Amino acid sequence: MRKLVVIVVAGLLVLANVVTPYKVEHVHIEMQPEVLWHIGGLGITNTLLTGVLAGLLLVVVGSLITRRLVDAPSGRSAQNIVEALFEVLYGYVNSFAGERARAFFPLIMCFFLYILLSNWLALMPGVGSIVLTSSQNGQSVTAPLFRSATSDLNATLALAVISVVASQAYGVRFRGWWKHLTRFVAIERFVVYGNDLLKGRRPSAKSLLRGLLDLFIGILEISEEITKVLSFGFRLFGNVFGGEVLLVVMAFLAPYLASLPFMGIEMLSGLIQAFIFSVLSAAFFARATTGHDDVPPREGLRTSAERI
Amino acid sequence: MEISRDLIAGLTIALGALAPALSIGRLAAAAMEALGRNPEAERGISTNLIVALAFTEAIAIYALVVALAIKFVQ
Repeated sequence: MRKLVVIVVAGLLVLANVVTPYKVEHVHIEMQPEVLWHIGGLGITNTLLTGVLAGLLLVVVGSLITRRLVDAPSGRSAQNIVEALFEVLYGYVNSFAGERARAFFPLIMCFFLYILLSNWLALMPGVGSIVLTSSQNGQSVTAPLFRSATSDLNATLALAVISVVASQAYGVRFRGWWKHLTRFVAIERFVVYGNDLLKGRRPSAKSLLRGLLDLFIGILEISEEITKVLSFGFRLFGNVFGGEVLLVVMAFLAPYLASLPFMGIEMLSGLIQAFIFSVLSAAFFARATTGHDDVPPREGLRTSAERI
Repeated sequence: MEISRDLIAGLTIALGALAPALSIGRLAAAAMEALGRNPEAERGISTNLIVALAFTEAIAIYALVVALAIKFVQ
């Protein structure tokens, strides 16, 4: 019976592919998000609207699930599902950050859930297909009401900036101002050299050379922070926007049936991108909180500072 | 003008995808080999593989973004 239904549906889809009057007439791809309304000087774009809605959705679902927490949730309860998800990601963050995972995890999970929801919202019916028509200068302009937040370069760059700034903040928090700053302006060896000179000890010229090398590494670290923002932002934006373009073009070339597998691919890639963003953030947080000479913190292994 | 823009966009992604494609192939081959030698380390290898693939793929994505920008941004 079930097989019959599947075959009939598939047959109808194939038939619809050939003789349907409902086809995509022309492909319209807009890279910039469309401004829907103006509030004061601020243009409310469709990506901003969807981003805020995604955030609200997360807050509402989160507060609903955490309303009645139990110690041993049953197998199919929402709490159990969310806890399982948290545990998987926590395991990965833990493997990077060790005992600091607890400090990083709220932000990491926030990234993950928000990006995942935004990526998957792009595949929802209604997102991109509900259009607002407004008249500008006498012509009617149509703009989709909803558009996934991560398909806007502004949103992904903002997420990237949050990630990089947070890694700086964690670096200051776990290593202190001086240690964190000398990672980028590496004058630590010069300070030691100057101290030695003042105290009348004979410092070695070798440490001066190593100081120069450290200075160069510091410049590399600064440029790495900047490129990190770009690569985080472009990777997420490119994947989501590229995926949307792929879906639109597929729906244009071969509607109904052939675009279905690409939906699956996009769901998978949305999940992977959310995972990559959050796990990479965790890796960079872990990097910012350990110095060049520190032993990376692992469970059951004390850091070099503690051993001394 | 329009034809040359399309051509440039196509060439951007075509050339830009070349190197990442080769590197993804190498990465995957190395990971498979490592898996074959040491099947117990599957978890660690696959995580590292995914992260490394994301880095590599990002380069192709840059080319894709530039190509899309050339094509669709006036």
